[in-house]
Amino acid sequence: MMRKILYILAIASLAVSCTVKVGDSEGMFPDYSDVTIPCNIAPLNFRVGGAGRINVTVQGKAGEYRFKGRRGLVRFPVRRWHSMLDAEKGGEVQVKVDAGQAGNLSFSWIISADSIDRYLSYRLIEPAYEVWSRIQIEQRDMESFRSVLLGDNRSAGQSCMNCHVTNRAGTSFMHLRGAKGGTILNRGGKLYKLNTKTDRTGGGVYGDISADGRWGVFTTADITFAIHGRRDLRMEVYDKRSDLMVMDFDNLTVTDNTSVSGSEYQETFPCFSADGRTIFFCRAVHREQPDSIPEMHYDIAVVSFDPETGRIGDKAITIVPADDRLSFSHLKASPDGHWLMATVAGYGTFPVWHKESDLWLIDLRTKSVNPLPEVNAYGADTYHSWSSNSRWVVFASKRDDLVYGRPYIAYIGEDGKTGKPFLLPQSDPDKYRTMLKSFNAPEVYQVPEDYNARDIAAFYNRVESEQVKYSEK
Amino acid sequence: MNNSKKSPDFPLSLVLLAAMTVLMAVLAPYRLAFKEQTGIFAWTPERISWYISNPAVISQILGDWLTQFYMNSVAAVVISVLLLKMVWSATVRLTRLACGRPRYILSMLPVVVAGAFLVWPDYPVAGVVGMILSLRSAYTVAKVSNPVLKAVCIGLGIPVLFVLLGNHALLFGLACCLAGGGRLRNNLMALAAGLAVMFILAWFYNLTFVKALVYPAPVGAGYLVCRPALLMLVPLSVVATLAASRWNNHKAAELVWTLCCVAVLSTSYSDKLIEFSTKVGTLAYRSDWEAVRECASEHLDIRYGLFYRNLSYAREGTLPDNLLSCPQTPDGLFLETTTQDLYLSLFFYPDALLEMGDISRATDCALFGQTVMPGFNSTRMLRRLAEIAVTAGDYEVAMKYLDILSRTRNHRAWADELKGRIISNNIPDKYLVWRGRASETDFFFPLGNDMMPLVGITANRRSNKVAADYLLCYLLLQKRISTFRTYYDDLWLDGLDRRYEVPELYQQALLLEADSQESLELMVEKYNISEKVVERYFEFMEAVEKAGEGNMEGLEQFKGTYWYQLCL
Repeated sequence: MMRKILYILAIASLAVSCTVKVGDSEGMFPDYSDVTIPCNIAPLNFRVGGAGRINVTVQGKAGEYRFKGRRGLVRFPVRRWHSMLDAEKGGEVQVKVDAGQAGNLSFSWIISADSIDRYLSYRLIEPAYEVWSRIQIEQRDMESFRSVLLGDNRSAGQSCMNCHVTNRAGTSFMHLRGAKGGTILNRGGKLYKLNTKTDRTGGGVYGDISADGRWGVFTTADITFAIHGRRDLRMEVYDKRSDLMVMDFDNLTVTDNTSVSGSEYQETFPCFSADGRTIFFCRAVHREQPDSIPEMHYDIAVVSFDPETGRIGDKAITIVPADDRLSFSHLKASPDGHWLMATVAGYGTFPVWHKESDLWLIDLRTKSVNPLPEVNAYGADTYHSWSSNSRWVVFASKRDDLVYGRPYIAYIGEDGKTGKPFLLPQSDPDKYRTMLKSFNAPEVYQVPEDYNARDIAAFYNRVESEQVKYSEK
Repeated sequence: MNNSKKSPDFPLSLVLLAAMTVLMAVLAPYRLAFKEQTGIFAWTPERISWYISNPAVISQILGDWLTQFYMNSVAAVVISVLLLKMVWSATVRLTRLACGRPRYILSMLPVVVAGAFLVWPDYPVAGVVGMILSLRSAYTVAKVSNPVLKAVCIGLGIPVLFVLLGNHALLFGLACCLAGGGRLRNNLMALAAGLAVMFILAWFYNLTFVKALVYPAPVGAGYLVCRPALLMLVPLSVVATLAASRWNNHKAAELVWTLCCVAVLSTSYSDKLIEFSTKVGTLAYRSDWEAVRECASEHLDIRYGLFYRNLSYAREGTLPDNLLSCPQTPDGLFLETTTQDLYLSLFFYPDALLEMGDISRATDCALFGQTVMPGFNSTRMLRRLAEIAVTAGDYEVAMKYLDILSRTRNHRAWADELKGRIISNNIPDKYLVWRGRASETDFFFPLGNDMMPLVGITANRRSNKVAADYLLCYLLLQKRISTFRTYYDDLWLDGLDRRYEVPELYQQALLLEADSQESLELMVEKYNISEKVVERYFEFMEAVEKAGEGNMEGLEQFKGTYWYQLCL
């Protein structure tokens, strides 16, 4: 009898200590008011601070939809949600939230007929300076809440895993560090492990893949970091030197050119244009660092590229110069060839820790620059990725707490007009409030990867790297 | 169990259990209490998802839930002993099934081994919880009389229990084979099949073979528990007990076990270094600085003793006055925080870094400390991160950490109060003082360098005496007197001397820079060195001369002066 009482007391105590406090702050989290959303996005579940039962009414052209929430949390049923989006595609719906004593909310959603690529990959990592414990690269289905692991460093020697980059058409790569590391290249479902360092060029770091999947362009850099002394700043990652190289994935060769390598400039963050005939990249005049980090201002430059021969042009030209208040990084060209999006920080080449970092949109036809005031916020907005229809960008933003990156989605119209960005929906949005990992380097694509973390682990542990060769062009 | 059927060694076992209680309460209370600082029990989506995405769901949840009560040493001892009692009861039952009668003394072996591991600060309570639940499960299955059904239960039970209890599924399988009836061959085949499925499951969890065998015990950089093989001792102790209980010559077996118990216990409990380190670190965590100094002064031979002793003086601005009143080592001022080092350094170093106004490195240390913990959470580091964020003025991120702490049992009140202070813009003075010591202008420095950030901070915050003292004392201990004088000129002659009396240590060091009578007079005048120090200096010089003639006794009276330190 005594034992039973003890069990009951223990269970009751467990239940009491498990009680979740609902809604510490007022209003809706995430803020999904007045946003433009893709017609295939997962339900925008949200929480209303201080609320209990919630009634949500969505009024659209095709009808009225009613949903209920409990304990301050609204979780839309996935099927009903998608039926609603299908019916209201291309229109605007009015959303009324009756949160009882917590008050009423009223806002609208524009349901864009343009869908977003279904899959999103990102790296989950603690925002520590120099160490990591568990790094995972996850692939999320943006039409639901399902996700799979593409990489997990627990089964890959606890090594650092770098960003997963894809050309949205079956070619992708990610770098694995550590003793058995290498660049994992996926070409149409076949995996390769490459040693991209040659006796003429360094190993590949930041990179992009041409639309046809044959070519990759990479930064080769000696990356290091320094700590900021000012109390509200964190870490500065910088390149002691950096150059560019192009890799031929068909023949596993790399090449470079003095126009994008050498000691005069530091070149980094290359990307191909939509037609693959131009390489955009950032470059700054070389200076000794870390002392001169604040003087490092990277311009946007271009160099021609011949996709038939793989030859890099002999002359690089600056197309958008930096000034002493800004520095460009993370270039990504839109797949329709109209836009180039860049991250802009005060200085340097690693804007992730720069609170002032913003996204800028450059019209490649007119060369006009749009600083995207509706998209940007205080807190680093960095590392964007274009959806294949060029209507959506996903980017990592630290606007919520200045330390932990979160994936935000923003609409980019054909005319360059933008929508208010919104947070990638989660089954329980509280995940963002309590999660102590950053969503790093988001990348959107249409076709899911056909490998997973176990394949990567097997490659890491059992497969020897293939040596890439240098080829003079 | 019916008391009337208990053997005469039952009371003796209770005495042994009572002895375990005393051992824990006397020799390891802080090691147990420290466990609470190395983990968290907060019912958040992230934690739930973490529990589900790893093996040992049930034992981790129950273990973490129990760990939160370890904050209090008494509760820690009581819960630990109750858990050990459960281990004992479960093992006794199994021995009864194994050999037909309960073996009370023999069953103390797993109690002792589990008790010895439990006092390791980072051995998870989940490990013992898993052990209890797996033994109870094994007892239920071992009682099954149908041999086929028993084999099926073993085969299916291992993968299921791996998901629920982690590596203790193996213990379940072995205990089932050793206790009760059934054909041993069938049972072993079922065990092998179950283990095969368990390792396939581990593969799905992305765990290696070794990690699957020890999960949820921590194996990784920075841990005290660095040899996974050792962790297998806990479940193996039960297996050994059951195997020995089937051995007829039980007196010999019990003798061997008793010796094993004594060896394991003495090894684990005699580690005074960890007990002291966790004690002094916990006292600092509770901001009981009087107790910190008292405790630290008793163990200056242990690096955290010297470190906290110096920090307790530095906080009061009397570090130079007390620096040489005990032998100093490089660890006394700064701690190594590399992945090869104990994670305790990561836990303790932010205490000093915040006092110095080194926000950047304090953040790095706290994030690093958080990262290397099981489950990537530590209540101590979360509190530190919240405090650092408040100090830095990053209230958004502070609120995030405080929101998480608000969901814990022990830190809710603290977190809610600080949240209220942030919302009402009434920041506690402690954080404003730390903020006042931090640099407002930017400079760069590499990690692992203790001097550069201090130079940068003191250059920017001329009134930061804590950082200035750390810098100058560090240079003196390094015997870099010229560099010391350069920074002294910069820091003391340009501000601090107007607010504080120049410490005698610095006066003594400055006199050493005089290379003639003329320059000595200039030094005395420039640095306002007291007559008493000058007289002592001349006496010291005389003593040195005599020492050169073989009379060393005269030098002893200068112990505690910098001149003497320099001669060593």
